[in-house]
Amino acid sequence: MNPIPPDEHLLKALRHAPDAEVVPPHEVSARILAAAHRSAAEQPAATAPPAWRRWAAALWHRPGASAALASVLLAGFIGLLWRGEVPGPTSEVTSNQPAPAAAALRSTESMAAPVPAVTADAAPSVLPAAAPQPAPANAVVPRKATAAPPAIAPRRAAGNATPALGPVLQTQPAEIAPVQPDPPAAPESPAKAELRSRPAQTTAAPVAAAIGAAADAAQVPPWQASTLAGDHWRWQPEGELRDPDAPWWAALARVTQGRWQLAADAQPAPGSLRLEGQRGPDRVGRLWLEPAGVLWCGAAPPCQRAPLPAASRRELLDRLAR
Amino acid sequence: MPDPTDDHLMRAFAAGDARAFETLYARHHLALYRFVRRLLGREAATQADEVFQDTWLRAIQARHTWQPQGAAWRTWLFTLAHHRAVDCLRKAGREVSWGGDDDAPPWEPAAAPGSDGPAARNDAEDQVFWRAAGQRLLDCLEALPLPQKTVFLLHHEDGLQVDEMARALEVGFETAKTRLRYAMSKLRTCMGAYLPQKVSG
Repeated sequence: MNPIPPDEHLLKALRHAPDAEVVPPHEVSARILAAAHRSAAEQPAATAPPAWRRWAAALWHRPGASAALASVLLAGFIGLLWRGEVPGPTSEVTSNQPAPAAAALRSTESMAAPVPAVTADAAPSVLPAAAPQPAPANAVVPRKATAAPPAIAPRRAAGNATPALGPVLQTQPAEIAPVQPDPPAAPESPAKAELRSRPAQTTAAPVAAAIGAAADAAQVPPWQASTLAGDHWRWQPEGELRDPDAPWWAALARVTQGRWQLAADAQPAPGSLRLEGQRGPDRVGRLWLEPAGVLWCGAAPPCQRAPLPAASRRELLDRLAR
Repeated sequence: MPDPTDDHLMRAFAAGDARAFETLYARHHLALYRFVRRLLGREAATQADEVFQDTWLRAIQARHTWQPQGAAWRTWLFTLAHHRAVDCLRKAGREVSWGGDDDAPPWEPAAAPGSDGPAARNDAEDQVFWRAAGQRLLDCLEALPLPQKTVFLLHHEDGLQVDEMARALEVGFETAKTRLRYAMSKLRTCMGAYLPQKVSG
């Protein structure tokens, strides 16, 4: 029931207001969508609690069962108080007979402790260990009202977007401040500091050495694990760009540091430049400079992708221009 | 095949389907952005992007716990935005008056430019007229107390019924209704000659 109908003229004025066609900035939309993709890539929310929790919740909520459990617990507690003593005229207990209270206590202890009913709200924090997934270095923290979104992953080509999102997907997402996550197990600060401060090397040092030994797995460029000195990297098709050298790889590592994510879609975006690495007859990996990111696919899956601002992309290409 | 509902899309997103969220975003981001900008007004316009972004991020974070609540998903989203906007205005030191503004002096009605009212106009003139009317309405909204501005925008922009607004804003039905009545009355007065004047009697 709506006792107050909308005013048609006010409605019309609203529709014609100067801000009626306003759209949010592209980078804002990009951040939001990237955060959604990152969230979706995390372990999905449990749709049902584990069986043991359902059982415990059902047990807890059954009046009869709760009363019985309470009685047993009370008996056990009393038994604990009387442990070693039998109330009444005789207070000594033969050593080879376990006190009934102690037995009750043992049986009590062997029962599962009463588990309070849990709701789906708590599910994410008490889920049993799932298959290990590469946790984002700075995941979105629930309930942090002011948390800034973490580094973003770009969307794919605009062709996959709904019309309203087309312009958004073609823009380069701006860099945003990371949230304060729980630190990963491996120490990261010294390695990150070293990675940032290490100057570009001019010698033909191994790629892995040029990039630096980042201790934090989330910060390590994905090619580091599978490339060696002596691998040959060439653009395909050859011609316009020189082959990358160690400083180039170091620069690429710097601009993509901490932004690598598993690629939901391993297809490179249209307009990408392909770099192929060979070790003898074997391919060690491929890297694409996409319009808005970098896609890495090693010899084995999975592929990973990192966003790449347009300015950084231009700089990287300028370094290799003939 | 009918388009999936917002609730369906949110459930799909909760299950890990990022494209479902993209669809939700495409459906609602423009209206939400307008709502946030109009709610914050010109003084807090610089924070509209932040409030808008935070609203969507809260929606994303809530995917683990979100459940259909009876109210439309869009209403839930707009309510998130409203709460965030209020927080923003409070942090900016702007007084958020939750009481009515019944004792304020009557607003001065505006005279429509070059017109005695919504007279007959050709299409081009009509566009110009209504664009000016829209600008005037935005000016009038600026001066409206936040609670009244909120219910007006939710009602006219988002199409919420009074009982839906009351639930979303956690106020009584009569409170929401009164706020809306005051808002519309003040806006009509403020719009002046831009609107056809009702004959009182």
